[in-house]
Amino acid sequence: MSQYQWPYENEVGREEEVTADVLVLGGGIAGCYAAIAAARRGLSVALVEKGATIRSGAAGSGIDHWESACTNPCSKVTPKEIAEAYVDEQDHYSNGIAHYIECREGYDRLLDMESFGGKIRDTEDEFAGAEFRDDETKLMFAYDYANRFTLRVWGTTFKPALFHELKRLGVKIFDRTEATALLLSEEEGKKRGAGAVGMNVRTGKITVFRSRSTILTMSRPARIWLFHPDLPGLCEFRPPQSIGSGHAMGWRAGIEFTMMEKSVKGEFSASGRSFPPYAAGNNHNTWYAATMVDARGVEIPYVDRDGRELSAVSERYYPAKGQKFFLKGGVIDNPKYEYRGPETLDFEELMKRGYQLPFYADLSRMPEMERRVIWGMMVGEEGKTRIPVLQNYTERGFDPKLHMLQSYGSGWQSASFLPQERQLFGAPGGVMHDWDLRTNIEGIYAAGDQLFASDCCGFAAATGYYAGRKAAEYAKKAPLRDICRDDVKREKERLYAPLLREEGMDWRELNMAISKAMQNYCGEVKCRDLLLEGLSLLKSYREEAVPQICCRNPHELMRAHEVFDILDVSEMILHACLLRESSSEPLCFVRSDFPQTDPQEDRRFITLRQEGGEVVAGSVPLDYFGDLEEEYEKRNRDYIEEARVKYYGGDGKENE
Amino acid sequence: MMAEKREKYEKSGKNDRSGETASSDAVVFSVCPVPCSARPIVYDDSVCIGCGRCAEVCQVDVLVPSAGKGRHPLVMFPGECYYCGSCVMECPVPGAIRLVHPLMNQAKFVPVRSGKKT
Ligand SMILES: Cc1cc2nc3c(=O)[nH]c(=O)nc-3n(C[C@H](O)[C@H](O)[C@H](O)COP(=O)(O)OP(=O)(O)OC[C@H]3O[C@@H](n4cnc5c(N)ncnc54)[C@H](O)[C@@H]3O)c2cc1C
Ligand code: SF4
Ligand code: SF4
Repeated sequence: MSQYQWPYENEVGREEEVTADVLVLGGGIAGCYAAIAAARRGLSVALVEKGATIRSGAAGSGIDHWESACTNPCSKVTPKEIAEAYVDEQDHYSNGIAHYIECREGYDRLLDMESFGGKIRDTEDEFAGAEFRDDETKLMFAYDYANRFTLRVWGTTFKPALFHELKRLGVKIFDRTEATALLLSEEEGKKRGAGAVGMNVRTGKITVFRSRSTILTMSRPARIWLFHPDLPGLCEFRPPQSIGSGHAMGWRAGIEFTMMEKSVKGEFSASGRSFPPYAAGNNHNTWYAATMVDARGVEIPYVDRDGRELSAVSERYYPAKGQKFFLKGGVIDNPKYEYRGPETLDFEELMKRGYQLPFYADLSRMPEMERRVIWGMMVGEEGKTRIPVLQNYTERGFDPKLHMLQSYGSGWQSASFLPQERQLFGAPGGVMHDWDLRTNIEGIYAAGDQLFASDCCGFAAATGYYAGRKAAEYAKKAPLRDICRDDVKREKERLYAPLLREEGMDWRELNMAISKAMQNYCGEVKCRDLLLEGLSLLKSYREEAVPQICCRNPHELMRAHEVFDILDVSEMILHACLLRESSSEPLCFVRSDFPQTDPQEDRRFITLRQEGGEVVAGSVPLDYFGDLEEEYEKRNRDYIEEARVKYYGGDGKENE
Repeated sequence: MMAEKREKYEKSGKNDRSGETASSDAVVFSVCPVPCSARPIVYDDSVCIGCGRCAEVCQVDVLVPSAGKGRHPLVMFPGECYYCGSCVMECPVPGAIRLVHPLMNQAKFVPVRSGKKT
């Protein structure tokens, strides 16, 4: 294999110090909005992003719908109604605080997006007159056309718009810089956030960030159970940069987490058992509510929650008789009767009735507007679809008026995973927080997919902005704290070690070993002995494999650091699984040694953090956030007034 | 194997805070395209203007600038590609860069059928 010259500067060993009032780690949707909120309050902000902020994060290449924009002028639901429905739907293993913020402020963030140049309305009247469009505001809706709280949006425009707004506001953006560790100050036994260490993933330069407050927005863990050494970029749903560094550095720093025992059978991993998201025939999410047919071309019936077959396509978008609204979207898989919307007949029932595999999505049978909005707008604006699906399939000859697209597997995942092939998906665990989105460590906040039971883009934008506000308020009063030079030195040594080895193990070998260990010892059915066995194996990897990892350039070094973080997160997950001594349906958690399911005494958030190398467990009641509306309003009087004037024309109506 | 790299690095003084002055060859980087079963990104040399924008927007850093001026970037880490399409969306010249999913991921489509229940 021929060698190439490394195209970037070599800055190994070089160190610079940056100070800012507010430090944001992660430049996805949540991080960008957090930085904007703090910068709007006049503070200096540094944003650290491992990739390129202009297109980074889960929403980098696009999104197609924005959930729970309950305050948009066409909405027929209140933030309280929808947030409480989410909490109830998830059996209270839900992030009520964040959902309420999403429902209450999500639409404000969309109006911000529009002011930055993002497209949120059908300004070209492409869909004029469509049932899902409000012709006055030109807003377009998905799912529940009666209640109109989920919007169809042109998400390919979003990240570039945010990026340019950050620049306009003077936010200092550190692209291609991985945050690797939190820096704490300890005064009178009390830990506080003091900043973070970062490494440039092209040059190896170290940056020491000092800040008054810090916000974690580095998304959630991945590549824990699923890994493919040949196609690592395809083995998870979210981008390969996001593997849970925020969880790992938080765990090392003593931040408290919850719900980390929850994992679900894989839903998306295009390196093996499934097709790329939205790239095969299905009727969920982007493709809701596509007409599905069986192998013969016989239409598969949609039914309402009472099993009543729906005849017109239009009926798929309305609540059932006597139902106020229905829930669909990111974390809603198999909703309770109360919130269940129209869906195709159950798979087992279809088999009984003689429907034949494979199934297909057949848009040709849909009204023109519905067909065009799915194929062309939703597939096109949704992440990872414009080029590899819309453009490529069109080039291959696909025409939604003439062709039907095959489905794979038995469900909408277009996949058939094994039970031990798991993912942190569907509102998984994350950072535990209070009403300020503050962690247990003073001065450190979190938002977006970094939070426990997180969800989608509206959630990330709204919580990001909110955390940015709260972190800014804190930073106005807090001093810059001293950082410990020894901590920096130790971190530098840890970061560079693989670069200073002459030969050794590739990062992929370790990632593969961890994933196999997690499948073996932390698969679908857990028990104490297996979990302990898993911890012991990971410990041996830490002691024997980590010191062998060898890298030839900063890019490989970044991947090696990711795997070290994956190791930390895997250990946290094993500990979390050990702490819950019962099984739980909402947490998709099965213990063969504790088969009792959801006993009353265990209906609680079990929290865990690390202190002095020991795991410290805690317990928090499920509804610790109190009455969502009341508690929110108590704490956000200033913002409520500000939003009323800025976004709602002073009278609670949208300012057009 | 001697720990030559580490020795050099430590001697260079680069582990100090004031390492800015040390010479940059303590650790020499090397790289070569990592073999991969798939070929996500294909360039068309005849239209690419070598502006490098595709590499600048790739959040995964799959692409790295080529040594030759005006030439397209190199697909250095093809296996890490996330198939997001951002590079293609950014390219100012139609057809200069193509993104294609591995063969196994190209879902099948067929002409519509209007079947009857049997
Ligand atoms: C293909 C796809 C389609 C989706 N479609 C929709 C949709 O239509 N509607 C919807 O509501 N939701 C959708 N989602 C989900 C939604 O995009 C995410 O929930 C949301 O973007 C999360 O935002 P975030 O800021 O928390 O995380 P991200 O946007 O993922 O941002 C995390 C950022 O942190 C950076 N980072 C990670 N580690 C480090 C580190 N160590 N140092 C520095 N930076 C780091 C990453 O590079 C990344 O930019 C989709 C997700 C995907 C993957
Ligand atoms: S498709 Fe996305 S991940 Fe792949 S090279 Fe292009 S920008 Fe990078
Ligand atoms: S492929 Fe396009 S973006 Fe990339 S260097 Fe060539 S012209 Fe520029």
